[in-house]
Amino acid sequence: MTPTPTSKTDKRDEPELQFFESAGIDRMGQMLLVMAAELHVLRDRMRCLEFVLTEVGIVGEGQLDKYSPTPQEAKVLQHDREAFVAHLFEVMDGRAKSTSGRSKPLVPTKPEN
Amino acid sequence: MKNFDRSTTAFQELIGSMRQQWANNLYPTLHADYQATTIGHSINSSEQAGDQVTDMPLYHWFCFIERHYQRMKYSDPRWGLAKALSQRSDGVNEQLHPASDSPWLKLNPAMPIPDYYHAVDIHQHPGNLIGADFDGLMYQASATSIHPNTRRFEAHERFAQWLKSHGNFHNVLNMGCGFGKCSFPIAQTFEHAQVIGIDLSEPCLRLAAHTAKEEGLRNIRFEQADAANPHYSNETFDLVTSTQMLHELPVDTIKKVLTESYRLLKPGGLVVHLDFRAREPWLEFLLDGHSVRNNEGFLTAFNRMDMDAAFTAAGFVKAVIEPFAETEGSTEPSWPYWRFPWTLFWAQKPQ
Repeated sequence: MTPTPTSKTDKRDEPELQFFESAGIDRMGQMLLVMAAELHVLRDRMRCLEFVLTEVGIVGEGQLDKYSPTPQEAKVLQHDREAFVAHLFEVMDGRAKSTSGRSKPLVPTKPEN
Repeated sequence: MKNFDRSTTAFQELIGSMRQQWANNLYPTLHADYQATTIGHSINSSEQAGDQVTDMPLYHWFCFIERHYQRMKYSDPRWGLAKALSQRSDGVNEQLHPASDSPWLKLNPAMPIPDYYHAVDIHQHPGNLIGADFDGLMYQASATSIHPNTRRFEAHERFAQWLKSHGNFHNVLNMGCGFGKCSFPIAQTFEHAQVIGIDLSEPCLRLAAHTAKEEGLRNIRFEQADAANPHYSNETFDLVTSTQMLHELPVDTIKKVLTESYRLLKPGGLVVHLDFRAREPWLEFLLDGHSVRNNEGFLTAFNRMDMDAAFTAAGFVKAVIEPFAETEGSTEPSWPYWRFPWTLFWAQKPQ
């Protein structure tokens, strides 16, 4: 397994760019994006699962709604739920940012003479 | 999204959809709001253009989304490309290490990487294409969402057709070739040409060579070389090209690239660099902002660079700078969606 790449520019300690008057609003926006991503991925997996289960004839209509997890299954669901909440909350303290840092203009922006 | 797990694929597809919404819905609305504020006003600078929108909530969301869809695509801790590719254990990365005598690849590990390449992680790519051996794969996966409203790599195919309409070339140098997205259409368009793609990024070159082998392309080769200091003899090529490379270079390096382009060309040969240029205050304002939001640290200076003078200083008699349509109709004034202002910078070396 290859390590996740790190930036050579060593800018990851800088705060993420801010687009609204308050950093809190930016972080709220990032939370919304995380929620949207989680929701989408979940819906995608659920739909794929339904396709598969229906194809092999395991699940009939309405059967999922009546299901009660076993204790072991409940632990799996708890793990997923806690990972979801951690993902959602990590943007609140500003940790969620591009691992490539941020850029400023590196050379003068005036026209050349 | 081949070989990613279902969740990563779904996440990356969501990023693509966000990009599409941003370009096709947010941007036209923002542009319409901007135009409404300019009725009766003369806008003469990017600063004046920006003053029209910086108090609009939509403008802030436009900027926010531009920054964060790209951040999430690469750096999301659950399903970002960096995380997903670092955890792949399917042997794909190993396949990208062809034998040292591969006819498609020539690496130069001793080649110094220029300082500017370490200055910023361009377009938020962690490590700037030299941070991990899967950087080529990461860039390739990322490139799916760069140009909404076009077929994948359509711009590069159209560029190859443009080249074909301007000559029949036999020795081609494609600078800043990356993973070969521009080199391949050129090699396929000019079947009898020998095409060399050069780049600083070893991971990208490995992927390009791997793809060339898979495709069975015999007229293309990828070599690790610096476009500002390529070690080829004078008058080796009749066509020197690049796409989306110049704006990732400092001005002084661009001047060296043009000087080298001239040196490498045979008399009568053509140099064609395809890149971006904003020609009016609104686009200039957006590109200036994009350079900050997407870590394009050299874009602002490039957009203001006098390219006519740079071509002349390099030895060319006259440069042509003209808009380029990356898809049908995109340069029409009525085109409503966000697009980069693709521009051709080209010249012929005197006979």
